[in-house]
Amino acid sequence: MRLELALEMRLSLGPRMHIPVSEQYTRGAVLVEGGTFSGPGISGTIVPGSGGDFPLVYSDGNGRFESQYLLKTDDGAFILKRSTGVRQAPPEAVAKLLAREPVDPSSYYMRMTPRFEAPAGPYEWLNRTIFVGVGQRNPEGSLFRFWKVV
Amino acid sequence: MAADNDIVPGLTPVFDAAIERGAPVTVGRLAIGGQRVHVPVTGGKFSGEGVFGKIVGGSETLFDRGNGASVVEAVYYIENAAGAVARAMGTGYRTDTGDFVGIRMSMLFEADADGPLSHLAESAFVAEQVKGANLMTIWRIV
Repeated sequence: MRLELALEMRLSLGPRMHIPVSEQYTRGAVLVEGGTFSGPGISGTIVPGSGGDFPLVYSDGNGRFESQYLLKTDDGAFILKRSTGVRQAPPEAVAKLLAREPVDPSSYYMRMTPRFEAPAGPYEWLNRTIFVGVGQRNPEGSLFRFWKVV
Repeated sequence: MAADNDIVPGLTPVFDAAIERGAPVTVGRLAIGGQRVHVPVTGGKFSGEGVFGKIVGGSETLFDRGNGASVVEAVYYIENAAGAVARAMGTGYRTDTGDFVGIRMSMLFEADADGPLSHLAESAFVAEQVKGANLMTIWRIV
């Protein structure tokens, strides 16, 4: 089993909203305002307002990602992307991430496992492929790279 | 694409699991055109990273699209030798054609936050079982 780089995605994100469900966790909500993606044989844009990231944030700032939004390829296909993931970071990195300040991506663990629902045709391979993702937050938005497991 | 200073993930093998499966239960052909099948997990063993124990339950639920690929949603409950339990949740595919034939899933764990398996909840994983192999291997995404 090995990893092969498949997609790079840049997202601009809206303001962060919070649902303080309990003392132990908060449900966040950050809507996708737009973005682009590209990789071998595929490129396009993120459909603005089609979804977002709804992280489950523990009281120590760590937590799980749960995101969902739409991609539109340059040839007009819509693809639903859903992803879960894990963030583990020391408190100082968490504070910077939440404040959307630059953080050294090697100082924290942020890994995603996206899955895709694509139409029949040239992108159908997405429907039967496992992916591993790495994310980086920065003041301008988020940068994700996804490797397919082959 | 990726620049030299970007984080590149890797996979580190963590566990091997011998999963015992019971007789499948077929729900039938759904309105969306595929067949739903439930496979109970009846037992098994796992070992790796200095941890070993047994599989105490779970299930694999498949949606067979009829095109050589099935969507798999799996849950496995693992118990170490000291009785600590973790829940593994996998989502992925079983492919019967193509370059890879078998089950591949991404996987996350839940465990008692103060227990000896809590570290499993702090990483993401992938799992693979080649068709016909006895073991499923779980890899940590590093």
